[in-house]
Amino acid sequence: MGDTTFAPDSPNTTQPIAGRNGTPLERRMLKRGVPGEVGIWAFILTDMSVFAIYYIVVALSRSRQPEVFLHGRHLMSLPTGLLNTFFMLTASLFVALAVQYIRQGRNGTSQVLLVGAGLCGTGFVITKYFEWGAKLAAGYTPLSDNFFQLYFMLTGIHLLHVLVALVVLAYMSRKVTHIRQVPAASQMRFIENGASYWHMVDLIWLGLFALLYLAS
Amino acid sequence: MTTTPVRSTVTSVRFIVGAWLTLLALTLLSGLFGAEHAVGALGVKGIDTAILLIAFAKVFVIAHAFMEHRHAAGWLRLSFAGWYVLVCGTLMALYWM
Repeated sequence: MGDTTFAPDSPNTTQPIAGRNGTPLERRMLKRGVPGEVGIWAFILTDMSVFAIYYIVVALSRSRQPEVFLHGRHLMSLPTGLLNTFFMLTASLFVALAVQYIRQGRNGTSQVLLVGAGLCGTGFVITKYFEWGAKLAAGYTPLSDNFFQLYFMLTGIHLLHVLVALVVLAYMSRKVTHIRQVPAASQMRFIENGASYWHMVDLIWLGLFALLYLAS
Repeated sequence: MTTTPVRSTVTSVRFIVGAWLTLLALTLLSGLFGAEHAVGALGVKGIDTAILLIAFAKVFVIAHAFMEHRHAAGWLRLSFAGWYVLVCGTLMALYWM
């Protein structure tokens, strides 16, 4: 009860997903056991590892210039960071729910949820625009000191990920419009890939929020 | 040979929403730790440790609930577990230096 079966990995299928009543071949394919495709997880783990290196660079830089980082952290707006974290988490909620509803064939509801996720993602981008604007207006640029160099660079790279994720969301929504009742295996794989990418973008933000807005 | 298309059973909506509420609560908790007046008895290093642990707890919740790792293959869960331990451990060591 509550077991999730992921879309099979067969490359050329447009057949609807078969569950426990499927053929032996389909049952073997369902044992792949990851949402989407294995390749997206290789990408996700790689990207997470890159950001892990960024996190460690922040920590190393802070250990060498603790007063610079403390000063920079005091200039960060905690309410803005909390708002952006709310946007990221809620977008992930909507995407996760959309995946469940797509599996149930409730495509209309899933579209509403995907729009909701898009609005949250857009809210994040707009908040980041105003946050950066405020910093720049106050005279803090990527050249000010090591803290602000890392702040602008890392939140900028993350912002690029968010923009890509919004495009992915649009493609996911388009994919849902092509679903007739139950999604085909290839359609479900695409949607699971996109959802997994979105959750990775959320996950990466949590590390940046902790290191740049919270930790001393 | 024909196959009967069967919709897979789904992770419950309640579980996903519950995970989101947990994430919000952990975020607010870490926000309290990160606020200026929250140093108190824990000290700066204690606060930083709490913030990092909460951050990685949130990462785990996202992977477990949103990324559906509780149903996923062992190699994926193990890879993520390795990432949590390595990255969190390294950061805590650097913050304690």
